[in-house]
Amino acid sequence: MNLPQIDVSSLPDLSNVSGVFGSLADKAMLAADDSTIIIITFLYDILQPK
Amino acid sequence: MHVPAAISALIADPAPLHRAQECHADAYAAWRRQAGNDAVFESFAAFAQGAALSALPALAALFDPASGAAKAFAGGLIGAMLPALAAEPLGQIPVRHQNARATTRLMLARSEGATMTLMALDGAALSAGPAPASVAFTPAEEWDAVIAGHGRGLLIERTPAGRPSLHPVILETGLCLGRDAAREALVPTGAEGPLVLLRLQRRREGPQPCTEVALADGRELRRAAASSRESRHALAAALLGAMGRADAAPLLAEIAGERQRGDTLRWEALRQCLGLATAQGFETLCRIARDAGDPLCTPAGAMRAALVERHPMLAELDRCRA
Repeated sequence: MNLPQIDVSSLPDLSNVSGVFGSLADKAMLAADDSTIIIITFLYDILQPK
Repeated sequence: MHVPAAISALIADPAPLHRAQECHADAYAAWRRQAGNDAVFESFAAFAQGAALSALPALAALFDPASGAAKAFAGGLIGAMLPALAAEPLGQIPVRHQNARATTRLMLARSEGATMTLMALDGAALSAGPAPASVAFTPAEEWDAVIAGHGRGLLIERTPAGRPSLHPVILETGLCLGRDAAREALVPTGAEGPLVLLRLQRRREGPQPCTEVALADGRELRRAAASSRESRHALAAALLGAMGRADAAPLLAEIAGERQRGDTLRWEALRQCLGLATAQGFETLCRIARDAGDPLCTPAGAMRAALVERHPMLAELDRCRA
């Protein structure tokens, strides 16, 4: 049987899909954490501030 | 970009920064070596592996109001780290931290799905903030010990339907609470000055997500995966699909069929399996759709019907395998 190729983007998501782990943390309330430091080290390498 | 002079100097010569880090690392290591702390961390490792808290005296003592052990444990850490911070203010304390509007957290231990966190709540910021409108429930066991301060909070109990019930609770030094965090949440709402808590959490294995619920009517606002492993697997499934890795289809079919995994991961594995190997994916889809006890039965049935309508020859495949 020659089966059709199914396009994944045409398949629906669940109606009650869960966000990724940690996505319930209210980012608006988050002032600083380790991720800030991780991002700063990357930005520093790219921007090389004088 | 504004770079203060003290930081510019460190950019030119990072050696003092390395010394600052060593100073903080030494202070932290000295605390870990203090009498009794070894036993606490060994107990925590056993707790993370599933041992009952009551079977681990060194860890259980931290959450026993009579023992005063939590205060001594946290006091030892602060006593060790403050001189290091004073000597090297640009060093970074070698434990994970998070600073939100009213709450600062230091994660003292993490293993498997278990964490032990020291939390300091700022009373003024807590009182100034808006009253909570929603609350998150996590599939986990949680214990809290109030180490210092005096404040107020709400013990919020989830009800099967309708609005959660709120029980006011006084948070005072020595208070210890153990909860099933999937059913009860503790939300501090105010304090006179700082309020310091030690929190122990152990996530339960299983497919239940974390859910955020509106306090007004109990409506579910959002949900998120309760374990980072599950989110990682869902991303991996999407990546394998995007890479066209047809050799991964059997594994994706297996994940899609495993009910002990979360619905979102199973559904993603099923979608990607359908894209990589039509026959295997469709067979898995039909198996799920036929099982009335499967939480994905209804959406799988709807997707099977839509696919059969678009590709009638799939109905034949279903008949052959049934």
